[in-house]
Amino acid sequence: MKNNNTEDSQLIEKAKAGNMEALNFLMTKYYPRVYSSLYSYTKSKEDSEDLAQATFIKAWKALDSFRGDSAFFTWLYRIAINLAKNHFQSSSYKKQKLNISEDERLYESEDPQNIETELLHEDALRSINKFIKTLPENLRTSFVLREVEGKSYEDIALITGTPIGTVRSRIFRARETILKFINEGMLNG
Amino acid sequence: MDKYDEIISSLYDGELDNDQTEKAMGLLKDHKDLSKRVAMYGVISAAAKLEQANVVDINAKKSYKNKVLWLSNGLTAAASVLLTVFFINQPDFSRLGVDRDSQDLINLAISSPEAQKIANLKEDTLVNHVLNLVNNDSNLIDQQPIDLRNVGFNLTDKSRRVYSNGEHNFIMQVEKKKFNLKKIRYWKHGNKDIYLVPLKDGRTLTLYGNLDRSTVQEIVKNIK
Repeated sequence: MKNNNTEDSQLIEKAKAGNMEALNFLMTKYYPRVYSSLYSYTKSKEDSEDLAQATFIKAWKALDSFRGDSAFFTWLYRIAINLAKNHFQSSSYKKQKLNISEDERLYESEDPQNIETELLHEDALRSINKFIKTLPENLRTSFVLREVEGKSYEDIALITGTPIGTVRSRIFRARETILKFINEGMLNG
Repeated sequence: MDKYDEIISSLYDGELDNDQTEKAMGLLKDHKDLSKRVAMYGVISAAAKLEQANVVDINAKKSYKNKVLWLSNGLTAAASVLLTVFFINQPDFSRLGVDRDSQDLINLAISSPEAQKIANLKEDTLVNHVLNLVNNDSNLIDQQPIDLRNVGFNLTDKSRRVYSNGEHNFIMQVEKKKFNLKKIRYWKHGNKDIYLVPLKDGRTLTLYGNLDRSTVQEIVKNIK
């Protein structure tokens, strides 16, 4: 059985070694969850964007200290929430944006006002969540075991009694179906 | 392109070996639109995990009426109870922010039967009250509704004690049941907030609706 903490280990090692593609992938993968967590905490789009950005800058700088004792998201989450707490403890938080140096701005996301960010608000997430529940049972089971329970493909194959290739395909098809719903049902609907 | 997309889906899940990961990274470099897909997968993950982030998992009325069944839902129920325990222990308004830092602890605790038992015993009454409230099944004390006009709210439904100022709508009621609260407690349910406020005479005031903290503070000051 695969340890869930190793999910991103290859990419993290590559990022630690200076591979910017790997780093970008990790940031892109986790930005929505970090942003969503921060939004639950701050209820402010602007604060969440600033804090998510600060989280990734801090994570980038501290990446060598990540030992893999916890899942990568847990580590990011701690950074994000500590930053959010500090942010709100600051007496001037309402007036000031996070002070990020020019050097750090190099790592700003390319397009913060993009569709992904817009989709990260609670109503949109709820609509997607609701749609997930309507997926065909075989797709939904594999997808939920992966996304919600954090099971590896190998574990899911054992649980569902299907080959790993089928699990891989079902999870992919579930994602494609959800993307289709987002593109056709939410963005154009 | 589908084949590439499936590879990215596997990369996203960390299910590729080292060589495959290298190749997938190369694909990402060559096909910028695949990065967009990764971002969208991230959105889908956030949506899929939305319920884990909820404070109280309120299901259909039948689910909680039969407590054995409700608790037999295992992790979901335990997580609901434990999340409640964490969230309601906020000491005052200045700390009403959602303490998401405790999520990791909760994730550990939900697998502990002891934690489930303790949480269930200590907070059973309050959890039931909140569940009753969101299912419109709460008991009102038989008294005149409180006048909130001096803080800008009109009573729009006397029987259900619904107040509104056009922007904020909420139910406010004094409970029959004694909760022996010493401090204000706070939950979230969807986009609504639930506040339990101890009054000087020992009774408990419940506010439930789309309320912000400052509005609640103002209302409570007016009542006290």
